[in-house]
This record gives sequence, structure tokens and C-alpha cells, in this order.
Amino acid sequence: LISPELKGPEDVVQVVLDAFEDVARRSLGPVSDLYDVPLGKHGLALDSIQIVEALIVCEESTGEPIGAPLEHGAPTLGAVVEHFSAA
Amino acid sequence: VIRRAARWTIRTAATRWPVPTYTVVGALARATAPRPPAGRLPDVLPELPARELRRARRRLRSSEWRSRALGVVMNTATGEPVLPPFELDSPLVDADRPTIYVSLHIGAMPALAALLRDLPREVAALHRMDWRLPSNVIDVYVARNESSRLVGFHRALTTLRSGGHVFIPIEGNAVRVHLLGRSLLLTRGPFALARLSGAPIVPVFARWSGGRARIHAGHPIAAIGDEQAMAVEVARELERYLGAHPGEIDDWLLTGLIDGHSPLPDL
Repeated sequence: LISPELKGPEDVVQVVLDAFEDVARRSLGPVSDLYDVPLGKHGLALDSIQIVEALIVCEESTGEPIGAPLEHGAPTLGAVVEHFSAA
Repeated sequence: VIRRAARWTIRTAATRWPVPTYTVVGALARATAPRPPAGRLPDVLPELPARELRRARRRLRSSEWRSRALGVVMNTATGEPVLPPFELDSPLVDADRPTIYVSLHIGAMPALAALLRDLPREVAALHRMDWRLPSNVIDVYVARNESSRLVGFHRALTTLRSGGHVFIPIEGNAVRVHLLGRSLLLTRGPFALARLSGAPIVPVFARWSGGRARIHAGHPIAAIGDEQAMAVEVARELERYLGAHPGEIDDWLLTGLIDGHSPLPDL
């Protein structure tokens, strides 16, 4: 991991959750309950701008480019966590 | 068969002799409707004299025909589309800096592709048209679905962050502004892009002048945290432009301003 503050997968999970809670402006609950929930209108109801905004925060925190999660459109929160955990 | 023949003729003529072709198309439009009624234009421009209103309507018809002809060229081009020559009303300010160019589907809008072609850096154009764009312009087709909007927005932001430019039409359904005393809905995309990238927004509008296009580039609108405030600035620039060129107010825009229309999904 590029950012020295991130010591393990749990930190990445927290970074991702914080980023999405920040753009959603509400608490989303535990990640374990949200793992398969899409980020878009049929899930967390975030719009495309909010999703990209949160992914940028994750990218800057982990050093891992956004790329893959967006290849097939709006990902689930779990897919985002796995992508950035792999950094 | 007749339609295909007409398209082939327009494409061939406009590709070989763009300026004379668009001039003739515009003249034909004027000749076949020499005194069109003012329509609903007085509803949004009540102070415009009757003669000016008629002139604006005549100009609109002529402009629409030329834009349709150019649309045929861009739809059917198998290689680099031949675009009409253009002139800027005033030079672009700081064209090297990553910039978000925004416009509306009015006047000679397809001719803006020529401006994008001549920009010094990579350009990502977000659109929903079946147009072939110049080869140096990255064609980002944004379909009417969530996935496509997401990928398109990310592509645009990536382009700006790597020093390129973005072009995006502003019709939408998210940001409400006032225009000519009425209400107009714009897309949120360009304003969010400006907020996230720090790139300024430059409104650009193209109109026909004979067989050539004239492009008006507004003053750069600095990126700030308030998306609504940037949208208001764009609407002000658009209002100034339409006030100076009332013949660019087409029926779609008129209907939208007067009746309100079903908002287009955001790009």
C-alpha cells in the first residue's frame, strides 16, 4: 500500500466506507451487510458523480487506480473493497 | 431511395465544396420560407421589434437546414469528416489549460467539432449523437443508463486530470437556472467536473455565417465549490448570446422555456 497510514485490509475497508458515507452524507452501516449491494440507484442510490467522487478518494488514499471497478458499470461496495484491498 | 439519394448528394457536395454547399442549403431554406411567422419567440423576447422577430425566425430555418446537412456529413462519413471552416468571435483564453467546454444543441452546434479538432491537447467529447468526430477527439458515447454515465464521467475526469479538455452539452435534468425569464434544466456533469478537477468552464456556441461557422467562446468561468453558482454563470453567458443572436433560439429551446419539457437524462 502506498499510503503509510493504511496497514491492512481493515484500514482499506474503512477508507472505502468513509469515502462512500461522505458522498452519501449518511451512515451506510457495516460493510458486511453492504457487500453485494450495488452503489447505483438499485442499491445505495448514489449517482454517477457521487460514485466517481468516492472512488477518487479511495484511489488517492490507496494509490491504486480506479480502472477495474468501472469496467462493467456501477460496481457493488464489495467489488470496490476487493479492488482497493488488492493494492 | 429518394432520401438516400439526397443524403448521398449532400454528403458528396458538402465534403468536396463545404462552403458553397452550406451557403446554397441556407439560401434554399430562406427562399422557400421568405416570411415565416414569429411563432412563440415574442413570449421570451417581448421587446424585440416585429421585423427583428421575423428575421430571427427566417435565420433559424436557414440555420436548421445547414445543421441538418452537416449532420448528414458527420453521420455518414467513413473517414475524417470534412467540417465547415470556422472563425472565432474572439480568441480562446488560455487554450493550453485543461478546460471544460460546454454548449447547447442550437445553431451550428455540430461545427464545434472543428474547434475541438484544433485544440492543442487531447479532447474527450461526451455526447449521444451518431456523429463521426475528428480523429483526435475521443468519442465518449454516453447512453441513457447508469453504467454509461458512470464510465463517461470517469473518462472525462481522467482526461482533465491528465491535462486534456472535455466537451459536454449542458441540456439535462439536474440543475435549474433562469434563462430569458424562464426556467431551464442543465446537466450537473460539467459543474461537478469543474469542482473536482479545478478546470474552468468555457461556454461555446456556434452559428452559421453563410457557408462558414462562427463560434462564440464565453469568458472562462472559474471552478469553485458551488455547482449552482457556476451553472448560473453559464446561463448568464447563454442569455447574453441569445439576446445578441435571437435567430439561434430554436423551437426545442422555445418549447422547453415556455411549456417546460420532459428533461433529458443527464450526460
